[in-house]
Amino acid sequence: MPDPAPDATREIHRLVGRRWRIGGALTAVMMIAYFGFILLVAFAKPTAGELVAGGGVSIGILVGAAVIVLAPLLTAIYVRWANRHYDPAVKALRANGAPRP
Amino acid sequence: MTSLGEPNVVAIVWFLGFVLITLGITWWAARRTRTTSDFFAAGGNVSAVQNGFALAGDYMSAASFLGIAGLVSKSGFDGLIYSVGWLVGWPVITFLIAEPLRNLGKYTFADAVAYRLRQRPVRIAAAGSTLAVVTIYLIAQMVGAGGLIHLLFGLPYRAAVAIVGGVMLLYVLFGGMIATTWVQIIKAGLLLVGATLLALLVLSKFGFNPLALFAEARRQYGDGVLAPGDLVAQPLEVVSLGIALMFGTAGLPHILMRFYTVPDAQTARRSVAYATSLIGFFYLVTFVLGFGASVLVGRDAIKSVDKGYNMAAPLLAEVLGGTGFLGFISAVAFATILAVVAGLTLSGAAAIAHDLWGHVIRDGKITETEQLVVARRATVALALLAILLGIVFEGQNVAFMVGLAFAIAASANFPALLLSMTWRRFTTRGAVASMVTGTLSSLLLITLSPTVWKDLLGNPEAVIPLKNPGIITVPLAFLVAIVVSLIWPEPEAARGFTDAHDRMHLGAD
Repeated sequence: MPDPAPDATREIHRLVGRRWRIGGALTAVMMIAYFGFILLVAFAKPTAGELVAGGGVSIGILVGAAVIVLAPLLTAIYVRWANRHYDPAVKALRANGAPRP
Repeated sequence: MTSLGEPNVVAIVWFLGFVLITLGITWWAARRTRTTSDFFAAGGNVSAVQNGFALAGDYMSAASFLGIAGLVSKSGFDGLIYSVGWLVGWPVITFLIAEPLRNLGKYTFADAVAYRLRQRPVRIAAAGSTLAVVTIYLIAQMVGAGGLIHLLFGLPYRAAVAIVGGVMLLYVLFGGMIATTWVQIIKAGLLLVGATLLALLVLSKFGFNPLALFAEARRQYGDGVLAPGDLVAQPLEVVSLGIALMFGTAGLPHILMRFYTVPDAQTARRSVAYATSLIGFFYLVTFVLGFGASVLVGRDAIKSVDKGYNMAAPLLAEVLGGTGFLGFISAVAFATILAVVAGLTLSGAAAIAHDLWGHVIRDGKITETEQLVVARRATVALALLAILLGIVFEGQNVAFMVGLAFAIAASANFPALLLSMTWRRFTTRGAVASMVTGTLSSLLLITLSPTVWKDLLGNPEAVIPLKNPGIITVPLAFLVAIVVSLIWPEPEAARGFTDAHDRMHLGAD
């Protein structure tokens, strides 16, 4: 088997590093949002229970619902990035003789 | 007055319809189930949308439908803490786990952990934690099933447990993953349609304005209904539960197994995105159902039927849609339990036939025929075990067991899986020590917790004040994995990392 193109290995590492950084950053955002919600509920009960919007809803409910909406939103951002950038890059790398396991 | 608990014609018709259709699918699937890949992974032919629904179906248990709606109807805001916790693990699966897992493995998550490590020890430890999670989750589901079906249909507890075990056995034994996937898809569809219809009926009473619903709840039960309540008496408790829920989702063997049913990593990624949206939507809907039940049915009426408030959603269906709608929702709840139990059993059978028998006993040299025979025997054994455990634990309060299953999944499976994919110096010993520590420390700390040590065993004081041990056991499992790997390096495993690395990111072919 011929050696992979000289830069292929480095290129893979750069690409994969990018994926972990993006995945890691999005994980961090999710964790901050979630544990932020939990800490608000656990340590700032009066704030979480404060009523807004004419007494129809509390800050805690709004934040909780926002975290629920955020989860699929972050997922969508990642999937869009991976479909548009990661997959084509992997395809190109493999076409250029990246090592095939 | 409610007709709940009396034989309900609509419920029986819907339920029989569900069972007949799913058994028909099982018959169809059985003729397509020839290889182990068909049996464990549906031949890898499931599409992203199908797997998205199937993942949601595997995950949305009766505990999340009836349980959360009940908890919200009882205490308002507090139910939201569970809903959020049960959802936030899904993005983590997308960002960190799904794609590498799909590329590295074949049938179980142990495939990915053991990829560049020594097979036998890792497989034994992973099968151990898988079977622990599956067994404990099964107890919670079976006991819940018996009780719920008794309440919903007036069927005797043991008969209900036997029916659930028996029908589930038919699905898995003959139809394998193909049938189980379709059961999940149909169940997820029915559950989403039923819950959404019910929520729309609730909101129609309030001009389709959730704020008017919340305001009415406040008028009836006071401001506290929109604020954190008893659940958060101990702040540390909530954080610990949160850790277990978030990382436990990413370590549930029956969820992880689903990523092998799709053709490639890209489909795996898209399927989690669908699942996350469906599950998030579902939890928003259950929140409306809980408030709707407390306002339109009333807490006293809900409590008089079941002290655990689990019947909030069915009672709401009866108030808003009559006996017919109650029947439909009851049948959906029954179908929900059946589907979850089937998924759990299949993942347990995979751990036994693929990890233990195939890799530990036969050292990876096993014929298709033999593996299928072992898988089917394991399925029968697990189904019998599920029925037996359901009967043994009759009348016990098993609510804590779902939390325990998540704690084990978060501490035993998630750290080892993540480190095996990301850390070059991770070793066989580190993986085994981490999985064993995660499993045993979770079991031990739950035993010493207020729920078991005090409430169940009758001791005056709990040894550990935490109900869920996640805040201790998850970091502990990571720590043990890292320390053991650093003390006893494994050059061969480190060398294999490059190959594993390329494979998990560039794909398997």
